[in-house]
Amino acid sequence: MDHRVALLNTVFALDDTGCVTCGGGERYLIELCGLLRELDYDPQVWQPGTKTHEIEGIRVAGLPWGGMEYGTLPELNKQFRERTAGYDKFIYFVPVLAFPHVRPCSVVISHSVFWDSPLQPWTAHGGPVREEWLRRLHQAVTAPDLFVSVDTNALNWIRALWPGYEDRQVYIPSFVETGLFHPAEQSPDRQKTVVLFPRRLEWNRGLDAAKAAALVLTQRFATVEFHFVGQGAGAVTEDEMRHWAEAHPRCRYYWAPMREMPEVYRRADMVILPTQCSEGTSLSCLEAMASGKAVVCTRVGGLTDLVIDGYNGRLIEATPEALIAAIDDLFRHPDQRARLGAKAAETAQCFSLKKWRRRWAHALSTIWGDLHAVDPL
Amino acid sequence: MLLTPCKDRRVAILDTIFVLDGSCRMTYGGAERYLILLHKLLVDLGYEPHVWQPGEMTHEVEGIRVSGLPWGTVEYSGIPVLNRQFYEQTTGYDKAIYLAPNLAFPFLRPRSVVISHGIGWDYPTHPWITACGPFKEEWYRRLQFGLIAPDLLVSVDTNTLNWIRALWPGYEERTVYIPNCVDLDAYFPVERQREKVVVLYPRRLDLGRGLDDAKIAAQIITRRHDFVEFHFVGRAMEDADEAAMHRWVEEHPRCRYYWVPMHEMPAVYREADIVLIPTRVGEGTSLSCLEAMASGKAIVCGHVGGLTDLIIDGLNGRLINVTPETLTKAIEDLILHPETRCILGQRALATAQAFSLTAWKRKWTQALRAVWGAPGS
Repeated sequence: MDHRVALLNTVFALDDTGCVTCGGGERYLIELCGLLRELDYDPQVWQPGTKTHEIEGIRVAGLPWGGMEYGTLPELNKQFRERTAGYDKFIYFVPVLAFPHVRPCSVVISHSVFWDSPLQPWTAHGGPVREEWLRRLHQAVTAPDLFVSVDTNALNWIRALWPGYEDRQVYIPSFVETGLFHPAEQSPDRQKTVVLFPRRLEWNRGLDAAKAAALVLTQRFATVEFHFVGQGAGAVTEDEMRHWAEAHPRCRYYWAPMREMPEVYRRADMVILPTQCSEGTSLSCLEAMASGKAVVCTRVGGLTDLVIDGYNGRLIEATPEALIAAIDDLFRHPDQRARLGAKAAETAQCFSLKKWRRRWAHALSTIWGDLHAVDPL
Repeated sequence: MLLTPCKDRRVAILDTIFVLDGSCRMTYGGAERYLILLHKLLVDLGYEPHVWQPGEMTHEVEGIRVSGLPWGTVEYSGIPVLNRQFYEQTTGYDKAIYLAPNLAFPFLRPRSVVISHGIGWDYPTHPWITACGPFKEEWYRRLQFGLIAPDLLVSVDTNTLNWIRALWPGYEERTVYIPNCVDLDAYFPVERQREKVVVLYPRRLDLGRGLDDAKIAAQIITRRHDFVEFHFVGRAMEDADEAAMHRWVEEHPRCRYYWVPMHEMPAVYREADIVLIPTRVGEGTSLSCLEAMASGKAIVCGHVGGLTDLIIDGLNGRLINVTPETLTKAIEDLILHPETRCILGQRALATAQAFSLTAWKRKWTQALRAVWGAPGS
């Protein structure tokens, strides 16, 4: 049996520094490669670039990538196909990579419905341009032998547009390391209430809504603090955010390395995820829940797979007004905060890394067939 | 003293068939129950709702005045003649509610609300899903109009809203998620202990609702476990299908088929140990699922449509990709692990509290205020 698995990714390691960009996608890849090795596979990763890197025991080889067409990378896909002749197991890390060639025994992973923004170029188009974009998306999500989706949203979306592929789809929600992210042993004894926005500084993650809420609520309540914790797309964005925070009392901006994030969550009283679009089963949301925090989420994408409004968090409309009302309500009702936080922590146990690994192992056994049958739960 | 004339309190509502002409008999599906609740809420808020439906007669049922309208024929899933008749008959009304998106084309009253009860076109044999070219485009055009041209789209699930955003983004601010509700006074758990295990399928006898999967699971499981009974409780669209179901259960030991009027359903749920909602397609925030949850039962659901808004796999039920194999396995796990059944049932009951009638009324009142202003103002 050939143990090798060829995995095509977008950018994992930066060519000039060899550093890993540490977003959710990269953490997912590291965990997936770890699982594959544990299952006796030998994962080898390709990405657009010119160099070869070795990161966390993962060999990452660069490939010429050409340009982007209709949201896909056909030249990169072709190069990958040629370099991996002789392999018999494949993983396309995101759907845009699975076009035009899809190898046999292949898996494609959807991390979210990412085309739901009015600014998304292909969604905004009509006519043949949009049709071609949809044709390529259709192939990428249906041609591989297995479509793994981190949320039910992508599966439901596909079924309502191109029904009939359900038997080659599987829902494997994202994971949280419940050993690292857990509630504080003692609740913080203090007078202030910390509202945490633990996201990248992007409008689609709800940055603007969070800032609007911070402006209103820090004026309304003297004991509320807003903490914006996350990186921006560049130094300019981060500088702007720093200046904004300095200009507004009880608003703070900083970011912390991944290993310090559990403590950042534990210090918060509530966590906001006011996503506007393009969201899967958010790692930030799961981490906040595992930390026993009351979360306020919008009803967008995979967040609806994690939060049931009024049971284990708040699921709100994606407007600043709804966000302000929900935070205000939780501020005034600490008992409700505690109740939602406790239910959130209970919920997070269903998304443990252990369960994620079992679900993946089971899914792979159904298409690669050379594993011991694994019970997904 | 000069009296300021009151704003028009009348609300025109267009429904498909609510009361059958000739019999004055209501069809008691989910949509009909929804209309009764909404009608009552409108009256409580000081509005004067008047319902129109296809037909020739005028009825008065459960205090609801229902007038018939000529309806012409169905075109691209819509009923344009009925829509135009409604538009003409309600001249002078300034508030309208369309009970389903296919009724809201091509004419719209000002300040109109449309309700989506879930995505109903997500199966391979749907007549317009299988079409292509200009016919399919026309179907999409009308669907898009019905969903987003009204001033407000109320969706019973997040799935519809996420689907729309990923196809036609930009309309988020005229949409709102109001999940279905359950009467917690009628549906509640009872404690009891007994030897046998009753698995309940409380659905219409329909392929999309997972009838075939449930029958296969029943055949396998009743052979393996002599203390398990399967109860199929629900009507079919045709008498012949009900007769076929009667014959099927006669051939299969410990399988029963019957149906009961709505007011007896709480007792049916209470008698069950495990409830199946094995939907494959076309589902909103299912009333059956909510009723089973409020009855404190362990539930096995398909990860389809609005069910994902109610159930989190392993937390408050099981959420599966329905096939005969996955369904059989999930049921058997629950049969063999009464303690898991108990935990899932308790959490389902706790979740159901978030879907109370009170919460539903509050959300609807808030949504109507946003498009109509305060009643009578």
